[in-house]
Amino acid sequence: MQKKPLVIFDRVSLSYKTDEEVFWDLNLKFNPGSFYFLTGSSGSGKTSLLKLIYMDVMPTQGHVSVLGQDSLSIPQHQIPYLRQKIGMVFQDCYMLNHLTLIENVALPLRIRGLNRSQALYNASEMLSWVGLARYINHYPEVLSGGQKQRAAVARAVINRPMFLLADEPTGNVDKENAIRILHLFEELHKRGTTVIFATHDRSLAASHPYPELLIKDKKIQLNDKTAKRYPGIFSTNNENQTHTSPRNIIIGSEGGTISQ
Amino acid sequence: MKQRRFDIPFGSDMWISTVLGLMLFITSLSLLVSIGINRYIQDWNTSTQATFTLELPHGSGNQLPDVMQVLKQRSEIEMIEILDKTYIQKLMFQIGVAASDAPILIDFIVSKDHLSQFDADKLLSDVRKVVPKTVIINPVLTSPEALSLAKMVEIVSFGFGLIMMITMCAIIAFLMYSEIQTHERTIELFNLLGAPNYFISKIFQGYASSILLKSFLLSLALNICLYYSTYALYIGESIYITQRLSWITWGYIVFGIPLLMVTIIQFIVPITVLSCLKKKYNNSVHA
Repeated sequence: MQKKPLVIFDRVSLSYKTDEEVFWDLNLKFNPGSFYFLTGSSGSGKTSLLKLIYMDVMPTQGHVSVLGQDSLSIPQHQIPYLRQKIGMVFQDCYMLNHLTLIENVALPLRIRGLNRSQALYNASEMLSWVGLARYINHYPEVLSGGQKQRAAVARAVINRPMFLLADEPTGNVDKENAIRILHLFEELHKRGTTVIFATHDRSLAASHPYPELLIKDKKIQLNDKTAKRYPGIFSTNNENQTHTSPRNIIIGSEGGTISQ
Repeated sequence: MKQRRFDIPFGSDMWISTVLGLMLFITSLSLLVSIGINRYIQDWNTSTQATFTLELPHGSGNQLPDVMQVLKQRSEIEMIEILDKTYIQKLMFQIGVAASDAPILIDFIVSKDHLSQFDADKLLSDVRKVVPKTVIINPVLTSPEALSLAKMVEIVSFGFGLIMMITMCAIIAFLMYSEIQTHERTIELFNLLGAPNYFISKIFQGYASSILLKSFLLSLALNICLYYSTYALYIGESIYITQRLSWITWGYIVFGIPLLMVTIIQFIVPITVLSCLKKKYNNSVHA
């Protein structure tokens, strides 16, 4: 049985107050358990698309539905609770320099109301998973960019989110660290987490077998490598789709086409 | 005192805690003056309104037992005291009357329950049958002028205390506002991680509590110093006033200051923080 999409973009347009349109009439669905690369040059709208998903900005037209919550009807005070179900990794890591690494990673749990000792215990487990166990009492400013990004991944997934948004997590690290960080996301994907991985590095996306959503000229193009590998399985109406396959993506109102 | 570490890196609170501590101390002093004056007037009137004095002329000592008999027959009178002869002679000397002409003074206290029915003129006429030329001195209550002056001082000092309290609330509110502006990025991260506004508000409440606790301890220390210094300097009757006022101070410290602190922490801080956050994040969600 097909699972309900986690995110639905329904004829979404976005324009900032003083700027031209970022997107126009965008239709997208992200089903559970998939992995997508979101690529595009700087300023193409990758971050805006992610912001639409975690409702930091609202569409100027159309509506975005995230985990069954509609952008048009969600009350302001419900948005934080929705965000608690989404993991986010920011390009600049966004760590708090006055807190130790373990305290930074434990923050989402403490926000959810878990007691301090339990939150710190879970955070130490998570830091061990990303290979930073020996740095738990260090402050972020003494860590390298790659280490900070791994800590940011640990913080993003500590709440066991249903899907994970990563905004250029490899933007400020070298190739070796980029692959290491990407490996963490792949591991999470294998455990069933939906991942949207934004990057301007198309070669990184090309070297992995996951579909790529390319933002170019206010349009989104799908480059589905798995569809090429398994021709014919990309279908919007296929009732037998598995939720771990990227074929669940539906782009455009026509299904499998790009809508503008 | 070491500053507590919060999830938001607030600035040092030493300076603001000291200022608020001094303000709390001044507030306690002004309220102390206000309440103290009020209580002092009340105490004065209560203690004197039922106290009468009979003045028997010099040389009427032989009739004293008969006068006492007349007084004892009155059920309204609950206490009779013949003032010490030496004390009266001293008083007379001070007002320029020869000690040998000193009268006999008898203080008596009428029961408060029967004060309204007590007829001083009837008593005086009975005593005069024994000792003619006897005079009765009515209680000396606070004069209306002194009473209105005291009321004025009371109102002014209470108003001053109130202004100090409002100023303290305003300082805390402004501090919270400026901290929100300073740590905008940190607060934004909390917001992105899914922290509801009340969670952020609670961090600010913790910060305000820490500041107010330090201020309270400082003001308490100053109050104790004031109490002991006043106690050390007391002369004669002032010990009575000092003791009475000190209890008022303690009462104020135990109930007044904590009440003020709770009001600031539970109402002023959340209202300020939540209104700032609402304004900030209402703007951000619309492109």
